[in-house]
Amino acid sequence: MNRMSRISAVYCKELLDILRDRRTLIAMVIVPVVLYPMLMLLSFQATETQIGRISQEPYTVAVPDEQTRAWLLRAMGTVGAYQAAATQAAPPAPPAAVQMLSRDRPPPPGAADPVVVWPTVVIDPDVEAAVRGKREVELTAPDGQTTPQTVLVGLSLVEPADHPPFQPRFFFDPRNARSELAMNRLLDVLRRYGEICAEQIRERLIAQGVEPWKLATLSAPVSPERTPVAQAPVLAHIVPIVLVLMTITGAIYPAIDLTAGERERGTLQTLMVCPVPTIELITGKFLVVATVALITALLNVASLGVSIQVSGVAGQLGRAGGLPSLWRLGMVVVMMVPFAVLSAAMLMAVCSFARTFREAQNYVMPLIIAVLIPAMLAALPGVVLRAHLAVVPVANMVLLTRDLLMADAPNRLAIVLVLGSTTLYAAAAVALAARLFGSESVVFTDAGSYRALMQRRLIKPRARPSAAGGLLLLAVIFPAYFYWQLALGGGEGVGGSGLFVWTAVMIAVLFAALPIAVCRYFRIDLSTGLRLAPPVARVVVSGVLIGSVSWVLGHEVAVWQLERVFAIRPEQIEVFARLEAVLRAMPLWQVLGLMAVVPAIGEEIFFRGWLLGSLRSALGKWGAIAVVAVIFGMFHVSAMRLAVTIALGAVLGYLCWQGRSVVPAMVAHLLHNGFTMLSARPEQLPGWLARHLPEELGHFAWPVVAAAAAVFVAGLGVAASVRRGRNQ
Amino acid sequence: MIEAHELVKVFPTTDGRDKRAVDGLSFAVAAGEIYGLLGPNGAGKTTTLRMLSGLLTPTAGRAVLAGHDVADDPLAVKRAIGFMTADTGLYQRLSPRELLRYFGQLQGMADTELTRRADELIALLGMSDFADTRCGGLSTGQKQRTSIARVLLGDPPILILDEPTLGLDVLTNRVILDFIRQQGDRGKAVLLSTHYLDEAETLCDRFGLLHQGRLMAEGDLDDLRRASGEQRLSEVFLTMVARQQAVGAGAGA
Repeated sequence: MNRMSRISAVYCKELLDILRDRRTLIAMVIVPVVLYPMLMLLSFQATETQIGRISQEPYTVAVPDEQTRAWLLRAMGTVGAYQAAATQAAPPAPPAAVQMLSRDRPPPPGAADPVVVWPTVVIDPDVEAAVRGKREVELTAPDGQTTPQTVLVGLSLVEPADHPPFQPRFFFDPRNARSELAMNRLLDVLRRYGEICAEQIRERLIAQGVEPWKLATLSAPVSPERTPVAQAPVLAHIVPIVLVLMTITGAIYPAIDLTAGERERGTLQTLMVCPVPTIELITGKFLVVATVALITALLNVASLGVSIQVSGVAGQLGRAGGLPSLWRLGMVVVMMVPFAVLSAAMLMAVCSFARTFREAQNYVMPLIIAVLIPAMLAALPGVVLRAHLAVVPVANMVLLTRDLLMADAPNRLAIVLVLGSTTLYAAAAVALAARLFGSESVVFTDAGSYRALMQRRLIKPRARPSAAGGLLLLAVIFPAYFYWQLALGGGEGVGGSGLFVWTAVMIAVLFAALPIAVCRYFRIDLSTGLRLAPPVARVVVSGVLIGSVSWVLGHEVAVWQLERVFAIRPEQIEVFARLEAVLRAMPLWQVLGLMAVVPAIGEEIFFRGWLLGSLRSALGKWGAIAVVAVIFGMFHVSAMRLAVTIALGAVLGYLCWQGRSVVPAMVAHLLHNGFTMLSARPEQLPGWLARHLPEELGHFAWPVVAAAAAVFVAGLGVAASVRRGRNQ
Repeated sequence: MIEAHELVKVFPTTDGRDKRAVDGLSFAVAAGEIYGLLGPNGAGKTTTLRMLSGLLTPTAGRAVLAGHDVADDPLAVKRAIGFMTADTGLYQRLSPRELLRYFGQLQGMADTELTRRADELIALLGMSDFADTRCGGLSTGQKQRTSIARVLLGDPPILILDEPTLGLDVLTNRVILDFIRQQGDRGKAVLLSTHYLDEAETLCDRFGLLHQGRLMAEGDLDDLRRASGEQRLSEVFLTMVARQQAVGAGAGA
């Protein structure tokens, strides 16, 4: 019986078991399918009632002067719609529910001759201070006034020939239903009054002999522009958080039940004496939790969509665009897959720590809060899915979901980063869960404390890091690396050669010092754990051969990509040119040290030493080499270099494996980077060599490429000739 | 079948001092033999059995079961043993038949073989009446039969039973004891721990008296009677413990 069928046995059993549990069904199906639409309808009705109540109330409009007040009252009298209601509604406030705040002011210039009535605006900070807290609607200047300081209704009674009709901007508080309602009423009054006036003027002008077609603009109703206050649709803010929360909520119960619950009921011992590796047990269980999380998320999306549609809340919620298209909803569901996986894995890791159901529930609460905080932050208006947020777990998913629900298409690199980083965190969490789940102190309550997991004297020396350890360190280093790079700001933050120095420091710290320190603490043998061992001599030769020519091939692939696949953007060229200028200004030894020696040593220790070693038992030779190569590519966040770095990563992994040491990979990496740097300074190369270098973005001559390919293949051949030794 | 060589298990404790739960334990159990590991609570019985079944890693020493070293090939060892305790939980929401199916799959049994074997055990242990009822609704006796069926599923040559009769009523107790006897007769190596000495006296072929992680005495009933001068096993045990404490006190003084 192989691994897959054992995992599937665990999966099928646990799924059956958990689906027979009423509590799971309630959290997974009943809540979204029944409670959801009910809640939505209830809140919708509550809103309706509230709106109905508010609409009976009088409202206050700030106006600057008696003239405006008189005009507004006259306008209301002419329109007639609100008069009766207003007087009934607010008997103590004469003369109507429209309370005018007046102040002695001279009429605006040009307002003396009342011919045509268009509302216009005066700006007056003093008046604003006086009416602050009382007004519900503000009007502001249409142009030239970008800051909405004071906004009062004013009247400019001028000829439309001199002052073309304008579109006043109304400032109101969109979060306050009263304010919005007041504004709508005011607009209604203005629009109707404008129409009536325009008709009167029109008739008068026609009577004076003006041709009717010249009067077209006069009939344009007052349709003021909406306030520019940020107004992303409420739907877009609510849905991502709801999805994130619901996905986790659905997974909580099964996660606890399958780990701590199993332990508490005494079935865990029985399970652990079965001839099945712990990782397979936890994988099967984890897949069940992820499945339940995903089903919950799906049902939530569906239920939300249906109840929005049916209840007619769509107009209420999606103010800007209404409902997102089906395709977008489908994309959201696809994006929820890695998130469901991450939630399941995090919950499993946390619950694996617990020995009882109650204990697990206590551990889950902080996790929920830890998830909620980034989710809420990301849901704030104005937060944009940018690089630094794309690797923040949970927040990145909320933002991506929001962007998908909205019209703006999310950046493709951001999608890749969100999916990649989420997958990475999920893998680390699964590995951690497996490690905790199987550990003695967790399986048996009486077998000592958790401290045994971390206390150095109790840690047994081991040959290489576990897969869990490998992925955990990766999950720590990845965001650290990312933020460090971001802090350097691509050369803008740190001037001159500082960028390269700090990058080298980062590589040395994160990729070399950190894994070595971790190995020392956890008693992992450096010669096997990080492959810091004497290499097989032949493979060093292979490393020299490959490293001496790989840069030629890498250059060819990059140029080919630029010609066929991507177009390089002008601003990128500018950045490259600036970096290159800085590099050229530095002495050669510095460039080689920072750009070739340090990366070759540091990156090889981490990627080929730590990571490859930790994944080898879980993934096997080729699986581990491939996964490490892809991760290596992801670290060099650059779509343009992705293919080359992944290929290079695979070759370096192969060299390390065959040579049983990181040294051959270091040699190849050193030469590759070194030659790449040297090729940018042809003047420092011997003439015969410089002559063969291509133009900046040009090709090598084909014999050079052919020769390089031949040497490259020969190098691989030499490495492949090493037979499997006892260490492999 | 079972060989323990100088097994040691040290648990770290929160106050920093290590607790030596098992301290240099060696014994062997042959095929067809029922070996009773006896001792008071905290003597190290459970820890020993867990080390032998691969649930705990020994701090030092070696355990070989059915020819496989637990440290080298825990999966092979797990394949060769049936492990049961009195408090072995069952999955409440599965029926005994589904439960047998699940554990059979985990042991790598082929589908047809698994069905045949499960039917056979259900008939043998008189479980037909409740084989399709969920375990949550079973009586203690029915649950114990289900556990026995689970242990016997793969017909393992070794049975490791940790306090198999702890807290059981007379009837269920009888079911378990009969089962253990049968398995011994069928040539299995049975290792069981208990502190019900009277029960052990009639059941086991040989005994190991465990006290504070060490073996105080070992042998069949006659050996132990000769060594202690007592007749009943419980008397033997008390005499031995008293002697041990006297030695300890003497060494301490």
